[in-house]
Amino acid sequence: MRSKIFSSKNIMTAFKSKPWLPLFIAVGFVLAFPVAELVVLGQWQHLHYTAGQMEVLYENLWRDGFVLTGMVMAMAAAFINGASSFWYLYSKRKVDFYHSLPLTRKQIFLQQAFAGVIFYVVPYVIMEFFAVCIGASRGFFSLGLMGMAVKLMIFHLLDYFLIYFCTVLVLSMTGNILMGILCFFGIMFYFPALSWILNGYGETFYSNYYYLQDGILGALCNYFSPLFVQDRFLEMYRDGEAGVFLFLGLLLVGVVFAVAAFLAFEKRPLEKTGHALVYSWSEPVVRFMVVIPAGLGIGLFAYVAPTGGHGVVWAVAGAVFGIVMIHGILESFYHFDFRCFFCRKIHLIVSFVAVAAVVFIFKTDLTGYETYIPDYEKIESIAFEFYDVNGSEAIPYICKTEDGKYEEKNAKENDPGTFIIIEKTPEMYEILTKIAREEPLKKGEDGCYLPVRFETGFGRKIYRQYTIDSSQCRALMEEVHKDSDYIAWKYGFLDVGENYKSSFTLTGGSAEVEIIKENEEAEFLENLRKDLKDADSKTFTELPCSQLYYDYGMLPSTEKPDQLIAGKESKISYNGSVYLYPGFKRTVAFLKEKGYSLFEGIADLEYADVYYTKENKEDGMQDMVIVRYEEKQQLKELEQAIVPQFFMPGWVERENIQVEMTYMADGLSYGNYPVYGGMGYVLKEKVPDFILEDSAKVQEGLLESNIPLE
Amino acid sequence: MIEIKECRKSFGKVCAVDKVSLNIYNREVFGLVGSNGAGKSTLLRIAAGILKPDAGEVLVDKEPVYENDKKKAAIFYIPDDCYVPLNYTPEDLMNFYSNYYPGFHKEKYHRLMKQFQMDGKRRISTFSKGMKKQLMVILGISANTRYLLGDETFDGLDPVMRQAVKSIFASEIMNRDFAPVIASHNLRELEDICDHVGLLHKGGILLSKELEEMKSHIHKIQCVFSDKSKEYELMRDLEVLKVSHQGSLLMVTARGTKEEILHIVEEKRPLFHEVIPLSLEEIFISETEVAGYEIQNLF
Repeated sequence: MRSKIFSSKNIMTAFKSKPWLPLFIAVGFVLAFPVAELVVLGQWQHLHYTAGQMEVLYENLWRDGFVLTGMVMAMAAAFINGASSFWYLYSKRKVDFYHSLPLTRKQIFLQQAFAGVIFYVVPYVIMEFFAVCIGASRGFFSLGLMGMAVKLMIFHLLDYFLIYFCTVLVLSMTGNILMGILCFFGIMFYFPALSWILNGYGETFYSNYYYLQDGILGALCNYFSPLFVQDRFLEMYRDGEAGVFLFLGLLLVGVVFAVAAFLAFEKRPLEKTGHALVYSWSEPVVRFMVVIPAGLGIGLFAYVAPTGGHGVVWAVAGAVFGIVMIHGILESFYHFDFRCFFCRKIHLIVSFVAVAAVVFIFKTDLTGYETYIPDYEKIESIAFEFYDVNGSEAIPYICKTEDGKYEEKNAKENDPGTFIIIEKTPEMYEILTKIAREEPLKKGEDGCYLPVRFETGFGRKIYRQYTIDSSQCRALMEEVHKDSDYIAWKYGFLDVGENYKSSFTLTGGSAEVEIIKENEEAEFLENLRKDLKDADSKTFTELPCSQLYYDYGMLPSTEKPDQLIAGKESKISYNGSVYLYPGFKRTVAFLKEKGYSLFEGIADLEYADVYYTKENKEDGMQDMVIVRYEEKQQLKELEQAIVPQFFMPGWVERENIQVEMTYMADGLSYGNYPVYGGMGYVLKEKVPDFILEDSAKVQEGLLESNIPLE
Repeated sequence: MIEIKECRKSFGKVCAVDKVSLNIYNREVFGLVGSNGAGKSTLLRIAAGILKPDAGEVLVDKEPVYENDKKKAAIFYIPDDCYVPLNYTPEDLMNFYSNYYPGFHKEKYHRLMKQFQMDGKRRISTFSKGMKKQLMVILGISANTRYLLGDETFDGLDPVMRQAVKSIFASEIMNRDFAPVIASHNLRELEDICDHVGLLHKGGILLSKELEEMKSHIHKIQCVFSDKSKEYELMRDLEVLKVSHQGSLLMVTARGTKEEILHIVEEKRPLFHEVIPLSLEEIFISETEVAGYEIQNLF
């Protein structure tokens, strides 16, 4: 019988029963390959690309363009193929027809799968061949391209298998169309949805929670959904990582689904056709899998929705509502009878208990998530994101490649991520341990965010986002700046060379942009280089006195298809900004000598609006009280204490009191300081007594806003 | 031979087939009769290897049929409401089946199609129910399988076709090793074709016998006694299935051969007596009534 399964006669019989299927697939692949190629080539013709650029673009078409169009078609073909081959399982008449044939279930399975593959592969190969021929006729042909075509075909075939067996698995486990549709969506989106819900709990209940890219929840989202895993593999393929790992990964996932689909089909009790789920054991499993996350999700939604301070009550009501509704709807689907809405009360109670247990775990941090830090010895690397700590500094993720060109990537990690690996030291570990375990800031407390990633063995990544105060930030940044690699990367612009420089500008004391004169640039940069060499780590945690903007343009870049400009060589710009500190003695002296202004304090305030925050006891939210100060003496004291937000990185100690500054120039009120954004903070060490007194009054409710709130 | 041994199949809380044992021998027509919901179709589906019994087994020529392609190749199953792919013609279906049944006899198919005056190129979706049944019987016969399991095979066939199908069955049995199994409510249809009858009720088998033997072991007696006590004695001595009175005429349905019953009746010296053989329908009604299947207090 085996030979008959794989015989042309069998294929013809299958073709006869669904002739539209191969035709549909063929039309799909005509559009996905030859038609798409002709359209794209036609567009390029009018854009006057050079021959070299055309080659890059054409190669990219096979790496990026066809991979997507082909994948969409492969997935559609797999779904339709799988559904049309095993749809009969939902009909008792069809089941009798097919299963009375002298075939074992294994033979039926193989026969349908084989016919499906033929219906898919034949049009695919023909259309892909046409696409290669069209390219060759335009002068694009090489063995490399043929290799890419073969690789693409294998990649799409694996995509096809994944969706095909996923569809067959659903059809084999369900007994009617309604449950089939629900379970298909379930298998595609269940784990991502579960991951999002748990992620929501993490963000709500944990102050150190960082949205997971990796880790268990990240894996649940990215690798436990046939749809999302395809997306991950697609990204890898586009990034040129179509190596053995990618294919083995896809093959493994496909094999898992193939085995599951085969077992579900082989063991399927055919008499259950028409039931919701054909395996009795799957009913409670699916029920709990759906009801518990639904209760958690709706409970969380009710908790975070603005409810005027009754979040917990709403959360309980939401969870109860979610559990009862989803449980009832599922029971009604199972029995095709709405009278069964409240059936299986024990299961309903178990769901309540499970939801309560999960909430309890998060609420009490039973897993020790908040305080967990891997052992020092087990940590392979520590990486940080400094976007909040660094204040208004902007460090571009651009680095020089071996061939002297530049490209957008994270030099410290060789990937486009924004985490920067810093050399781990016991001191740094101690600081982080303190932040996490001994002196953690609570959610909502004033501080800055510090996302941290610990990488341990086997590529395991642990993410946390700590809220740190200025003293913690200062201690940490001093440690970070001991890493010479980090400093080399941060100040990498000093090595670009003047051929590509565009401009250097400063924002200092005048709060206006000052361009460094061209004839002074070299000396300025030289001074900065020397200062960096001499600076100790404490220098980088001083209060900045200026900010330098650098802009390099037209740097040679590796040709990336997305950035290709017709007829022109690929270029990239490199711009960012760094603080200048008083500790950069040579640089500061040079700037002073040349007349550039440095920040040395605020002056000439006409009035200042101070923003006090006050906790609202009713809803737990922060209320704002704005008090305007106009007395000369008060303004003088404030001028000494205020630092513009612009010069306020995370390590500068400050009160959680914001000031909106309005200053006087030429006898006219100009409103806010333009470049500083008009906002500043009060330094902790210089906070005036009247501010502290008024802050206390605000907390006691004795002082109200004296200017209208917008 | 198909051996059904202690077969049981439940659908949830409903036991459709309950410890059924029976043998279907070669070269005989087996009639599977039973009340509504007795489990005839389920038993046929189990015998065809479609359903797996919860307990017991079905052996076809000494081997289990379930998940056994070789043994399934000896069986052709015609369900009551048969499915055929929408765009298929009889020719397509013939090609389809010939792909799976190694002994499929295409010449026989063409001959029978001609005899039944059926168009092999017309879409089956345009066929009437009876025509579909005819086609399936033709295909079943042409498949040259040893066993043909038909669920309500005669349902929808006109009298001429019914007779034709019966003739074909008879002819096939004469010419080769062939055993049709027909499940039906229409006992009159089965009576003149079946060699062996299995009577199902509430999932269990009430009896499975040669039709002639069955008929010779159950009779209806009509008699009149001068004395009521003789009636009681008669009831005591006979294996009574059913009793009714029509005036002084006593009508008894009892088990036993005609000779045995006559002997007992004559001993009681009735004023009048007559022993009448029962039709299959009457046997069915009597047996199922004994098993508690009757319409009570309906009129």
